[in-house]
Amino acid sequence: MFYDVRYVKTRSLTISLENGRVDKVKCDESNGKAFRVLKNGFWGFYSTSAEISDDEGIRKAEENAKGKGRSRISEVEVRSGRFVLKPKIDPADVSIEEKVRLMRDVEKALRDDFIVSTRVVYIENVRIFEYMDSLGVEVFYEVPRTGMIVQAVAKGETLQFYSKRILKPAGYEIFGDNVFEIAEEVRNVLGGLIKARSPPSGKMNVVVDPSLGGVFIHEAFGHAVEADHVMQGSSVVADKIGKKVANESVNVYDDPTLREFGFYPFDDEGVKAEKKVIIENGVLKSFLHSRETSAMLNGKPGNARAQDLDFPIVRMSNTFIGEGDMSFEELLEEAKNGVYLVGSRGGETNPATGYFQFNAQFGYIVRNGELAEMIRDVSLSGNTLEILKDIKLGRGLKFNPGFCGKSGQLVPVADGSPPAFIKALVGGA
Amino acid sequence: MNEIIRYLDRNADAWEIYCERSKSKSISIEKGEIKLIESSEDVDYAVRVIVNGTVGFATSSNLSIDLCERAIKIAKISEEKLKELPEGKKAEVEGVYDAKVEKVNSDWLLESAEILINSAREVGNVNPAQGYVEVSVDEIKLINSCGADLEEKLTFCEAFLECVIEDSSALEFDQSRTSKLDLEFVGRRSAELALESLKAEKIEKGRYDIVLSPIAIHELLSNALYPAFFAENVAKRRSPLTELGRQYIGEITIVDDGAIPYGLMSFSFDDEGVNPKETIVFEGGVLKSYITDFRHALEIGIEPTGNGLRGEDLYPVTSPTNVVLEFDDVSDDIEDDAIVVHALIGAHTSNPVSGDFSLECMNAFLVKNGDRKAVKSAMIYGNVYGLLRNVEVFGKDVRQIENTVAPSIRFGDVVVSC
Repeated sequence: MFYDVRYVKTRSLTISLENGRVDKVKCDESNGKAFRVLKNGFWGFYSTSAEISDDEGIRKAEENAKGKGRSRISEVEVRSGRFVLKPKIDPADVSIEEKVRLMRDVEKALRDDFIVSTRVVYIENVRIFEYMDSLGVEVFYEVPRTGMIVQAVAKGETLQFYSKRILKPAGYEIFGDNVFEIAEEVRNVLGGLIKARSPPSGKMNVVVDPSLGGVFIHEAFGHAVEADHVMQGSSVVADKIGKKVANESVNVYDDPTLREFGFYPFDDEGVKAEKKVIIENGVLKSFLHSRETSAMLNGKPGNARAQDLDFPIVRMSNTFIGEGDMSFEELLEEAKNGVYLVGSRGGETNPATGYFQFNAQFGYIVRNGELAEMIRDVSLSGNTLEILKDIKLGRGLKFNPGFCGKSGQLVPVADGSPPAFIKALVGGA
Repeated sequence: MNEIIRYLDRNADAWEIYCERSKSKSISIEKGEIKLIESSEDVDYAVRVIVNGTVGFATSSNLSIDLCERAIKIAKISEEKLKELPEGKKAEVEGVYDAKVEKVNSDWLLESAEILINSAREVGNVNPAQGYVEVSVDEIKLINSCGADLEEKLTFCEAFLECVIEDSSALEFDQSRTSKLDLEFVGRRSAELALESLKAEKIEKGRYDIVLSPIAIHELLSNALYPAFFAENVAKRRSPLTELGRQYIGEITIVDDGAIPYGLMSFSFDDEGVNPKETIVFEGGVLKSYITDFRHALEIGIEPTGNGLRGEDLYPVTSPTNVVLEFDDVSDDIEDDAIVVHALIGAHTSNPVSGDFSLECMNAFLVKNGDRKAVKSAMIYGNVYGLLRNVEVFGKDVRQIENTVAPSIRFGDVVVSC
């Protein structure tokens, strides 16, 4: 019988400043334990926020391991470890009044005649994680996450909305000119958006900026290579390891060791984080694995993550597509006539069919290889097995933070991309 | 507990303690095999205080003086104004608790999962790729200094299955306040839809009549429409629905009602202690009223509507309960000469401020003279208010999906990009 124990403790503070007023301040301190037992190839799981001994928790998990199955679990190479990410400025050492003062200054930078509503949200949290299993693995980490989300609504002929965020695995030191720059960008973009025209529709040439490119690769390929989908028989790339799935310029990685929002030192199964090559020179190299899927499919574990005390499942961390060598102008030239699209409110994918959707926050018409009129938010769709054939990659890799939802669990991730050229279905009015 | 209440009485002008005790059990399916049984027992506390007219709020897995101190500290910097908390009353609402759910054991879960898998396989050679059956019991306790002392037990059950065959996939689910889940339906329907969606073909870009299933209706409206009729969003100028009495959509009536017997979102008091009630949001397309939590009802000067609900962070905000859609023209046969859409991909990316959406269809069929052909990759797009002005007819297959109670609905003249 295999068992493991997770002890998760979190502290968080969220402050909203809505139309200039401090609102919805939430302060949480929680802890709990989660237990897994693997017996006769079948998993039993128990979690609780109440006080419980490890023996009692394991016993309750074992009670649930009632069936017979084929699950196995892999051993891990690094059996113990401890990591404490000490921020340069601990948010706990900054007074709440100081945090509110910064938010008020950012909010001021958002204001303009056409801005009718503003929201600035400050976020800080710390995750303290302890793990041990019956194979002798024992790890501990403490990682803070800090950030700010800046949003506004503008009114012209239509009501328009735009949002930007900065989120990092770090402390209060992340705030500098950057938060004022994003506030200014939100204001400027909205000034254009209220006059922007409806986007066009149909299959067309699209240049994506790095933040949209990041969401694109996350939706287009990231989910399909999560090995639990492969185990379920619901991934269109299940039989594509070692095969060409993209043109030769394409390299895709998942790297939890980067200090981006998806950072973690160990995953939720106690496995030391490491960079994974998903696509190399257009060839599919590996899936993302948990200890179970790695044992079943002969891969490397390290991508099992959980929200709070939930059962860990295969997840991305910081997923990105490597740089190419084209300049932005060359990408526009390549597109000739089409659209340039920027930013994203996220997307969704069905790995079984390979169809995915992702959303851009605004863009421009590209006419004769040059940027023309501004257009409003629009979604794009495509298919995993087709979309990377025609992709062309620019220079300048950038990451964007976000939260990824899967099976009801949200985890922090970052998606990265250089500007890129793709052919996709654009659904505009 | 008494010590904590004494502390709050001394240090706050008004206070509230909310406690949620949740027990859940579930079973998971992977590729037609049962893989995992889970159970969890969680207790969470939220303390809300009013000090000098502003609100402080803090949460924890333990109720302690420290938790109350944190809430009071926050009230000092908050500008969230509130004079009082609801007095708290319980309504009589039938069908929100089923004692049988408390007795669900591993054998019941194993048996239910087998029925899901077998019902799918009876339809054909599909892979019941992933699924689950989950039951939960939530015990809510709410006390406040304005007289509320309320308790309620709510049960919720759900079965979900995604079936896959070749590059085709479909999902179906059933949700209930009781342990009576239609497992055969979930298994059968997800398998049928996956099989029907095989050999999908591209269609021409253009304008089509479309029929959205209750699942697609919920996915679209809960993201693109519902937030626009929250009083808070209107007051904060994040909603286009600014004029009561104005016709914004076609002649549809939309009612929010947290007291519907057996409603998935029904309760005898909301998470702030306000009674559920029927609120007519749109009557024949005319905007009649907003829904709201307690704080914004006081701030804006309207009656509370029983829509103060708490999500995972336990902070009470406006949320729809059971939203019922009604239309005069109802028919059994609404699918001919239209694209029928079972579900949507990416509905959360809809723009709640402008109402614009552009979404990929999942399991879409072009129906012509009774003949159904699976459609490959199609996006529907437009504006939710424009779409709701083009309602042609409602079907009779009324079903509750999370907080939406609606049948399939046929819309005229929708742009489809392929």
